Order: sequence, then structure tokens, then C-alpha cells
Amino acid sequence: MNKTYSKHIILFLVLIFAIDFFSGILFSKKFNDVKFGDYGVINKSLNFDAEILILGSSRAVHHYNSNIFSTNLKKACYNAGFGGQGLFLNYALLKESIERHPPKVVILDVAPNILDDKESYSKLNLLLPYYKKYPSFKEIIQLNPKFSKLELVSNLYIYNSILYDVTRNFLLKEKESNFGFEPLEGMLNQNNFKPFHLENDEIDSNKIIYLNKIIDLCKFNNIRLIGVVSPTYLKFDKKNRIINRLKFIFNENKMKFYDYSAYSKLYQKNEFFKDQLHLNKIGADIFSRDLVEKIKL
Amino acid sequence: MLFNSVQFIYFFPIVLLLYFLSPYKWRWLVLLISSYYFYMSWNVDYVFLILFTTIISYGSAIQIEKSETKKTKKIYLAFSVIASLAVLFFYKYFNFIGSSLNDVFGSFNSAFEVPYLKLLLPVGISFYTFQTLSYTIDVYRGDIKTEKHFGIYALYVSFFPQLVAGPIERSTRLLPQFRKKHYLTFDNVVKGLKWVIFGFFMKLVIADRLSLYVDSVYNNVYQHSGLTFILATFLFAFQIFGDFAGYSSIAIGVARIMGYDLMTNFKRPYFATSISDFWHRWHISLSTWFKDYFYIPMGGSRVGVSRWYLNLFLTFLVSGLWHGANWTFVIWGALNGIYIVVENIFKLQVKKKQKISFYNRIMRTLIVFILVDFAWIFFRANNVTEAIYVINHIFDFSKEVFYDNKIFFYGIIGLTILFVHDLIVENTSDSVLENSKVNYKSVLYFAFLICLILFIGVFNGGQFIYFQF
Repeated sequence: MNKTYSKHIILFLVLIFAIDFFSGILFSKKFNDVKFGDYGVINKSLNFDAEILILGSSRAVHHYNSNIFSTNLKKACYNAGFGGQGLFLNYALLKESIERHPPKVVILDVAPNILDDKESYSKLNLLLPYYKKYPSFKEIIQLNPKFSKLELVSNLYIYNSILYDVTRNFLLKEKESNFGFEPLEGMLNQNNFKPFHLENDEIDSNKIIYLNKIIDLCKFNNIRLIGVVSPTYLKFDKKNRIINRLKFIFNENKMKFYDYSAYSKLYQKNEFFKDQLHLNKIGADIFSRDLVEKIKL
Repeated sequence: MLFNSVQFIYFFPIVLLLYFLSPYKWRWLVLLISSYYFYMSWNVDYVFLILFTTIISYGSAIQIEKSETKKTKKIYLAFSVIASLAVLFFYKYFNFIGSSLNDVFGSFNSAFEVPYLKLLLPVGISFYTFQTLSYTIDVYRGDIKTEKHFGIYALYVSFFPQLVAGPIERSTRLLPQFRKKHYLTFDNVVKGLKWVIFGFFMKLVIADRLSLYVDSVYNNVYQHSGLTFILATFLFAFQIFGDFAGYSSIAIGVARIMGYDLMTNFKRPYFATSISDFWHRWHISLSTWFKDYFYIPMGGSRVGVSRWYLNLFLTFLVSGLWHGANWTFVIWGALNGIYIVVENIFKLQVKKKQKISFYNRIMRTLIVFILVDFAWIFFRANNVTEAIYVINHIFDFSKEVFYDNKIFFYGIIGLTILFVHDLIVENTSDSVLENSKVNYKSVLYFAFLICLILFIGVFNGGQFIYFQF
């Protein structure tokens, strides 16, 4: 290998390390300001001092109108639901919220697949930018069997796919007033029906552990925890062992558990649903108002 | 084990180290063990299938060479071909043929039903089967002497860089390379790394990003129409290109680092000016395989005109079936066959030294792309019904357009880089990948690509599309 080659190799490596290093500095600063996209949702959830905190997956995001809860219960409410994530992220968000400003009420939306969603592990990588800053995030990221500490070597990798959100942040102004709630417009089209099965799914023991951790956190911090199965359009077997198991865990811990899966006001009425698992805005508002009444009691 | 997995990041340097630290006479063993380990990381059981195919073709080839009469040679060749294809047919086509027959029986109200077998398609079975077939046929034709060393022959069948998705190498090219002493040279490492980096760019930045959109449309076709289908089909053309050409590039690069030279599998296919030009640029190792072992033995073009057209059509039809046990692939192959026959009837190809205007070239490239992309609808659709639904609704603009700005944002970045890269290579014939030159320009380019892969690549995109074949 001659001198010129060595020079080029050194330049090649220096370039990569320099770009990676300075990107790390730049994006660690810009990252916390991101208000759009997935990171925007998490950032806002981590920084909002909510008295009522709503947790769950996409069904939580689209079903609980934070403004209805705030107005009727006279408490600041934030919907920290996150599509595609489940109990692991719910736990991390709750833990960090408690560290900063413990909520008084936590509503945990338990989707029918909350205990068996195997995909949620691979999605944990999305949370890498929070790994170093928040210990609870570090804990849940490590649950991903495919996670390797090698992934933390590169800043560019840690902030992978953030460019779009940062660019949007730079170009657009935030107009949000829904406090995490994302209403869905439109109506369910029965022609698009693609039935799926929720029966006989294996329960993931890690999910049970993290549900118990959420319960313990609430108990220890005197937070009122309410478990809710929000409405589904699907015919949903009440004997489903996942829901029964959830009900049992909540009852055992003397926590309220409401099953709205076959809620007569909305059940199988197309005009209130966007798809089989998600209410549209009209349905979400009806459900939120009715749940508020129940919680008040 | 996927190239885009953490496992491979550990696996390859260890193999490389062991390979070059081992004495020359044991290097084949290091590679053979590594290749079998690589394959077993998918499913341990299927190692017996590859071993079976290896033993059959190895033994048959020796018998072919030993045989003194043409008839005996033919018998051994037939035995080898039938045995290898039997495994392929059983694992890949049994359920397909069974369900197709059941549909026929059902239409005659017959109670007879071919049972459905729970079979998992062994990864790369079509690739290594074709590689063994080419070997025995080459031995039969006298194009190559048999490989007496079973270990080296087993390595030829299972060489890990190209085992599961090609390029499908010829015995005449690859086997002699296992006998050669390779050195870890700066040139090989540079050239190899360039291929690997570019392959990862194509896979992670382009293919896996675009697949997020394409999959959500093609897996829910009844919820979409019009522009959504046009967009998804357009993007699929680049997803499949990025995925497959990306894999081939990584395979070529990995092999190159160890000193092995694998054949180029893609040459900027979407710059093709005719359908036959496209097939000279797309999956070259398969196209040439079919040409040498199927099309030419059937008579190729040295027959009557109608028979020639039939040969062309059948070659593409069988190539379609090779891709997958589904009518969608058969139709895809048939469509390409029709294209090529029509092109030959009307003599629409551009001859080698023929000069065409810029406008003519653009129009040709565009038309070829549209035709190829139309055929991709069948390749991507989950079944024929859905493919027909897509075609019937491609100009139905009644449904809301499904868009994902994030995917488009990153997709445009990746596709722009790919377009500029390919355009430069196409017009200057100076491929930054083909040479081992190291200068400031290439240092900057590849450092930029690595950063881009880390920054906007999709790292949980999963396996390569062609693994299913």
C-alpha cells in the first residue's frame, strides 16, 4: 500500500467520523425541538405536565379526545398514545412523566392485541435517540432481542430517518390544539373488510411484566389507573383470553377496568368507525364523553 | 443470515480472517464450513437438501465423464437433472400444482383432492439447483472437466456470497477460482467494499424505503385505486431493482474482497431501449442461463420463424415459473415473452452500432419502462385476482390518493442519487464500481454513501425479495 492510498484511507475514515460526530451534535440539539412525526409525539408526551395521561397504541391516539377530558374533568389531559407501540413505550413514558410531574389519572387503552403483538419489539429501535437520556427508554430498547450496542456507535444511525421531521420542523409551524389526540375523518367502508382473528394468540410474558410495572408505578405514586378496552367494530369474543387476563390483572390490583369493545351505542355502526379497529372523530367524541361520565362517578 | 444483519457484521470479518490465515490447502474447507453455517442460520434441516443435490450432481458428473457411450452419458445426465429438479419441484411447486389441479377437479365437481403439504420453501433452492444443473450439463457437453474434489465441488454449490440469491455462476467461471490462491490485496478490498457499500445503499436506502409504500398498497389493493396504484407500481420497479441488484452488488463485493470474481448481474436495466436490451441488463446470470441451457438447446433462432418465436416465448414462460409457484409469475413471464416476440416480429430493437437520436432514445426508454413496469404488477400482486383488480382500477380516480410524504422524501433522495450514478456510468462507461481507483472523488462519494445509509437507510426492512425464489 503506497503513501497516496494511506492518505485516501485516512481521509475516508476521518470524513465518516467527522460527519457522524458533527451530526450527533447537531441532531441531539435539533431533536428535542421536533414537533412533528413520531418523535414529535414522544417529545410532547415527555414535556407536557398532564394531570390525566392517556396511554396506549394507535387506538388510544384516535379514540380519546383530550379536550373533552380536560374540559369536563377540569384537569390538563394529554393523549400520549403512540401507533405501533404498546406497553413498553407506555411504561417508559409514564415513568419519565412521574419523574417530572406525576399525573393524577392514567387511562391505559388496552387494545385486543396488547399482550401478543410480536412486532412491537422490532419497533423499539425507533426510540434509540432517547437511549442515553432516559433510563426507562434504555431499559425497553434492550428488550428487543435484535438490539446490539453496536447500534449506538454511530450518531447518524441513532438519529436515522429524523431528517424529514427536522426539515418539517424548520419549514412548518405547529397548529396543534388536540393535545395528542388525532381524530380520523371518514367512514368505514364495508367493501374494504379484511377480517382478522384475535383468538388463541399467545400471551407474551414480557408484556405481562410491563403491565404489572405500570400498575406498580401507579400504586406507588398514588395514581388512579383505569384500564379501558375502547370500542371495536369487529365482533369481538368476550371470552377472548387476552381481555379476560387483563380484566383479572386489573381486578386483582383493585384497579378499574372498562370493556367497551361491544359498546351498544357504537358497535358495528359504520358511521362511527374509520376502520375495524379505529373510531372516526364522531365516534371518538361520543366515546370520550361517555367515558368521562363513567370516570366522574 | 442476511447481509443486512448484525450477525453478518461479525460473520464476514471472522471468515475473512480465518480464510487468509489458513494454509492455502485448507482454505476451501474454511469457506465450505462458513457457507454451510451461513445457510444453516436459516434452517438447519434444509442443509440436507443442498447436500443431496450436491452429491447427486457430483456423482452423476463423474459417471458422465467415465461413460464411454453417449447413451450412458445421457442416462446419467437425465438422472441428475431429474433428481435435482424433483427436489425443486416438490418443495416449490407441489402445492401450486396441487391447488391448480384441485381447482380443475372442483370445476368438474370431482371429490378428488390433492392434499396441501405444509412445506417451507428452502432459501435459494432455485439458485443452487440451477448452478448444479449447469455443471452437469457442462460436463456432459465436454465444456468442463469434472471436479474430483468433493469439498471444492460442494463449495461451488454453496459458496455463501451467492448461495441464496445469485448471481447464478457457471462452473467454468467459478470452479477454477477455488483452485487459485487468493491474496488479500488492496485493490480487491477497495473494489469489493465499493460494491458492498453501493449494494447496501440500493437495498437499505432505496428498496426497503420504497417497500413501505408499495407493501401497504399491494397488501390492501381493495382500499386503493388510480394514482395510488400508478405510484405504487412505479415505485415497485425501483424497489425490486434496489433489492435484487443490491443483493447482487453485496454478493459481488463480498466475494471480491476474498479475491473471487462473480459475474455482473445488472447493468442499469431501466436505461434499456428495447425489451431484449432490458433482458441483457436485468438478472443477467439467469437470462444467460436460460439462453444457454434452455433456449439454445430448443433450437434458439436457428429454426423456422414460428418455432423461433415459440422458443422465445417458452423461455420467458419457464423463467416466470422459475421465479415462483404462482400464476402471477407465469403471467409475468408470458407477458415478457409476448413483448419479446412482438419486438422481434416488428424488429424494434436498436442494433449494436446503430445511432439513435436523443429524443428517440428517451421515448424508447420510457416505453420499455412502462411495459416492464406493467408486467411488474403481476410480479408484485399477491394473486391474479388482485393483479387484475389493480389493472382495472389504475385509471379509476374515485378513491382518495394514499400518500406518505416521509417515504417520498427519502425515496426521492435515494432515487436521485441512483439516477445520477447510473446516468454517468451509462454515458461514460466509467463505473466507479468496476475500477479499483482511489481518488478524492471516490473517497468523498463512498463516505457520503455510508453516511447516507446510516442516516436514512431502513434497518428493519427484512429479507431480500429474491430469497423466496
